[in-house]
Amino acid sequence: MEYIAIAFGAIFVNNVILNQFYGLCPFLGVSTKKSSALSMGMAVTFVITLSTMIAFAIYNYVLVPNEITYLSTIVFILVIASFVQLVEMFIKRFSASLYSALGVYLPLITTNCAVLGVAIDITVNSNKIFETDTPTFMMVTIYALGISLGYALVIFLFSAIREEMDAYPIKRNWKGIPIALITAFIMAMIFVGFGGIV
Amino acid sequence: MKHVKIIFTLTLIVLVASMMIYFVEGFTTPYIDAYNERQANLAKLDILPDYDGSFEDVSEDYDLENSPIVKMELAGEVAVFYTIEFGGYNPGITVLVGFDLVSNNIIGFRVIEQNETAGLGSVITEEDFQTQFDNLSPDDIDSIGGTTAVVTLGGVKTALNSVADFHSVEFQGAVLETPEERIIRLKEEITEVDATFTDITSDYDISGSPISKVEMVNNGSDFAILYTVEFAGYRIQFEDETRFNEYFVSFDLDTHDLIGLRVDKQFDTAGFGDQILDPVFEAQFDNLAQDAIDDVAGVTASVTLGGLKGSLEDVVNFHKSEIEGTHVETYPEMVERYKDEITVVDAIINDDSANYDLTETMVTKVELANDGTSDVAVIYTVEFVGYNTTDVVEYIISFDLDTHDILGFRVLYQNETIGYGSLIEDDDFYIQFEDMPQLDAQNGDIDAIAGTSGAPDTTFAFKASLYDVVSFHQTEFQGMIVETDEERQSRLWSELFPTATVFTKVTRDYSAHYDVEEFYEAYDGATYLGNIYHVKAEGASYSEETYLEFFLGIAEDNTFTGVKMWDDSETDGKADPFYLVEYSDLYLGEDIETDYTIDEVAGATMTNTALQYAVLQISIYHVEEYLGLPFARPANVDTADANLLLAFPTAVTFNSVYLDYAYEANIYNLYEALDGSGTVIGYVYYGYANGLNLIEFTWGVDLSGTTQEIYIVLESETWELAETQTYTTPQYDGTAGYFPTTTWLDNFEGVTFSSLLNTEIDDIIGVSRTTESLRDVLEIIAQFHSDESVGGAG
Amino acid sequence: MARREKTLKEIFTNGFFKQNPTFVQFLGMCPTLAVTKSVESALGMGAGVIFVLVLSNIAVSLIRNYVPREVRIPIYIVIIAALVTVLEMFMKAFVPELAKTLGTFLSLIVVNCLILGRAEAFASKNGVLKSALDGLGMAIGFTGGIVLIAIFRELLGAGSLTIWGDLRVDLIPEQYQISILVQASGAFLVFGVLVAQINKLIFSREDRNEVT
Repeated sequence: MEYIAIAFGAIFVNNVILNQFYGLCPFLGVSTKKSSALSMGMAVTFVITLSTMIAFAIYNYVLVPNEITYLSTIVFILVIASFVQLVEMFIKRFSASLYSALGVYLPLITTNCAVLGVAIDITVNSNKIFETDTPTFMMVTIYALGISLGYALVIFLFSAIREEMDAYPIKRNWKGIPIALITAFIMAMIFVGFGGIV
Repeated sequence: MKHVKIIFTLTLIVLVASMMIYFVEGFTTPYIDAYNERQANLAKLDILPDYDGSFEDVSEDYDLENSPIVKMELAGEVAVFYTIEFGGYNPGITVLVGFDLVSNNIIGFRVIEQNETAGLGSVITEEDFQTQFDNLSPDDIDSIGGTTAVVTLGGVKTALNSVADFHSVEFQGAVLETPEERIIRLKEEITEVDATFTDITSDYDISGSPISKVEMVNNGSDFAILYTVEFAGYRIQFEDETRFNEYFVSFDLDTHDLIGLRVDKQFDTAGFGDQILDPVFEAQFDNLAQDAIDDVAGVTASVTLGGLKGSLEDVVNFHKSEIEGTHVETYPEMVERYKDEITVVDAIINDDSANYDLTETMVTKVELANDGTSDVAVIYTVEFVGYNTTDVVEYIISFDLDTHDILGFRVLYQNETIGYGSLIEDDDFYIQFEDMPQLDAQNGDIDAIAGTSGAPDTTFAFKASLYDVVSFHQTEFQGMIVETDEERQSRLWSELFPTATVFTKVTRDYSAHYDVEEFYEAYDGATYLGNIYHVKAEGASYSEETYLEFFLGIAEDNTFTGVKMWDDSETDGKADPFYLVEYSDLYLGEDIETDYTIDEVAGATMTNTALQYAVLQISIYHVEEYLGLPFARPANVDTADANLLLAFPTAVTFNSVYLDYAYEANIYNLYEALDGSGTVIGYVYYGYANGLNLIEFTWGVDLSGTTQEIYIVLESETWELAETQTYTTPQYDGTAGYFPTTTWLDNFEGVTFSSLLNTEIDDIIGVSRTTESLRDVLEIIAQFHSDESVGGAG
Repeated sequence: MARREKTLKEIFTNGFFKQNPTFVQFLGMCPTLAVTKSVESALGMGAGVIFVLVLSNIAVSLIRNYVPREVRIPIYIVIIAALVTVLEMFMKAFVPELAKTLGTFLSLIVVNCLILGRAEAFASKNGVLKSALDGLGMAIGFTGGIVLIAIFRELLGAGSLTIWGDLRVDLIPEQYQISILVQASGAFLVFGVLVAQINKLIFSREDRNEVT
């Protein structure tokens, strides 16, 4: 039950994009087409979930025992960058089709602040999310998975809306980013409604 | 070469970066730590703003075992901070209190955590309250005020006094009176200074008395007796421990009056029970005559005061018999006297209980009274639960073995409300039972205890027990064979239709009703008299489902002929009053379609409500299904939209849908609440309750079954009595309360109907008639709403 | 036609309007939306970005000739992350309340595309002085952008303007505040509307230029 609450909260209530403002650059940049949004969503899900698990392990088994938690930012970004590099190499080597789908988006993920943001949130700022200073590995994994699914969900929905919107005349100065932001505003309002469920 | 360069550069950069971070870390850490410490010491620094040193936790260095102190911190030589935990109205108040180490005054009081009633006890968190402690001498702790929540305030004072004592011992070198010294001082205060006390307890039998010690007091000659007495107060059970209050009382050996009384230990509620510690209260006992104990007053807590007085009466009796040599009747002697009084003088009583099965009856003992030649009477000892549900009332009642009428009645034990239920133990009440016909007792045809409106709960329970005893007696001594179910049914039926000769089952001729097991037409020969419905309906289900099974008679002219209970699964005894003929007769002759009123049955209001609801459902079934006519019901009563709007502020228009739903007597009207676009967003009930006077209200509920506001349209209740209760009445002006604004009504706002039906909302003592009746009606509406699926509600 | 070398002044002011990171380039949008609930936190975030961007530009410019091309991005990231860590520690030590308000977004300056973007696009190709000026100009432009958003959000949403701590004015009484603007979703609305209005200005200026 607790896990369901965490997952639901991560996907809908504390939606990473609409509520926490992580990963907005790719959100606005890559979400013009459904297909690319879907690929980006998948890539992000993959990277966030795994890198969060790695970050959690490093934080609790390396940084905390050695009392060097102040290095978390620098360590996490290096881990994420290397990890993304590794994933890219791995996919390139073993699956050409997957690489053609995801490959372009992987380097972008390094600078997707959702990845680093979630890693920091579940370690340094864990008490804000789990109401405990020592969340379990399971809680963290579910949270990370929920967050990234929420990311994928919103970016996909958003791209679908934007595709439709392209067919309609929009005033010049509202075209592009501004109307996208207004759309995001309405989506964010809708997601606020999920807050009442938990 | 290239790779070497890459690796070298990367390593170098990382090293330089790490070095930089390392140095900055070393530089900033002290500041970050200082900030974190400041955060932790915020409350302390709030009290001591100019202090810039550290705080040293010295809890380990002191013995905090018997104090409310949980943490003790020194701010250098300046001050000491105690974190204390104690209970107010609710447990778990945590307070930080600072003492100056120079002046030894209290310099600040900050509530860290509390869970007191908002607006009352919670006042202790307010600045106005807390500033009272700025530079407060420990001697003045008792002078603080600022809240009417005496329990919370008492808790604060008691805890602070204890901390002040601790502080004065540890920091001012004060030597507190040891418990032994205190006891001697108290004893001397009520005898004489430097008197000698000799323990003579072993000379007496103190078993069965509250006395734990008897001492002879000597000042050259024996002049007084001092008793150490224990009694149960309000807070007897504390965690696993049983704690008794204790006092000393001295009697003059010459006049045998009291010399004085001092309370040694008490554990009762701060602000209430602990008033017995008040010197003014204690002074009342100075030179008090033995028979004037009852006049002592001045303690709000009736349980504590009652316990003290009761134990003191026992002490007086002990003193009379043991010291003065006067004979005092003992409890067994009293019982023996009572038994003689209600049978024959010098009767020989034989316990015959073993020969009877007492499992199904309220009778706990069966005794035969023999006049020397033969058994003349039987005495039953009976226990029942009256108004005080935590205790029983025990009485004896005797039946003549010849006429089988009642010979007499005496109460052996009761703990009912003094002046109300307690009047069951009264000669004036006893007298009616002398030679009372058995039938009167069986039918509960007796005077009410403390008058008709005095103690209805006790009276009802008592009548039910009488019925039980008479039935027992009839079975065991009059050879009346217990009715078989058929016999009982035919008796009940004939009570409903005395002239009926034929009953024809017609259940299958009509479409079924969930509550109707069977129903019958009653004929006198060929003349149709009416119907008997065999009903099994839902009872007063608080937590588990219960049922009420009864026969309902409806005469040909659409009036009731009575309600005969057959069986029930209500909480023990709750349904007993409904088996009485007098209850059934309440319905007799009432038109089933009019708004008849059946008086509330005290102590069983929920069952009564459930039963009446079932009767109404059957009435509707009778008219609509059996007679095939529309059930006449009162026309809806309209109320102004303004009153509806106050119950459902977000609605725009209202539309009566009263006729779409079943009839419910307490509902005047039922409206759909529509928003601006004409969409139904909820419902508003316009109903009434019979409080002290008529209460009319409107009550909104949205589509999810969540209540909106409740608005009192009309009332003229007296609300002053509620002033000291938990709930506040914002407009209470000191002389007249104002019921429509009481926060008690908040219980019914913003909650779901289902949670409302599953939680018990307290009525308010002092205005229980008002609150109980309104609450019951609101619960009926909540039930109606889901039963009738108003707006699709389940 | 050889491009004219930009003057120092042009480099410095480039980020103010023409290449404003917030409203024109849409760089570093996460903090743009997340920390603009109050002017105070926007100013704090801006100061942080100024600190990191100027120093990272200087550092990158200094080592630009010694860095192997293949690993330049990781090296920039390490430099930026180190600077951010330093900034974090300073802020926690000296302005702890602000550090708490900015929360994770303080750490997230590391992945603010503005910083890496300037390192890659400008500092790796230009001298120290120019890079420092470019960093300062861009960071000021960024600060100006988020402060503008924050002014709208805080003023209309919470009725006040908070510059620093108690330095705060309450202007709009509670019943007239549009509280949704200080909630998460309101950030999108304010930002969107502002971008549209700024676009309008830009377009009308362009139109005028075309006519003349």
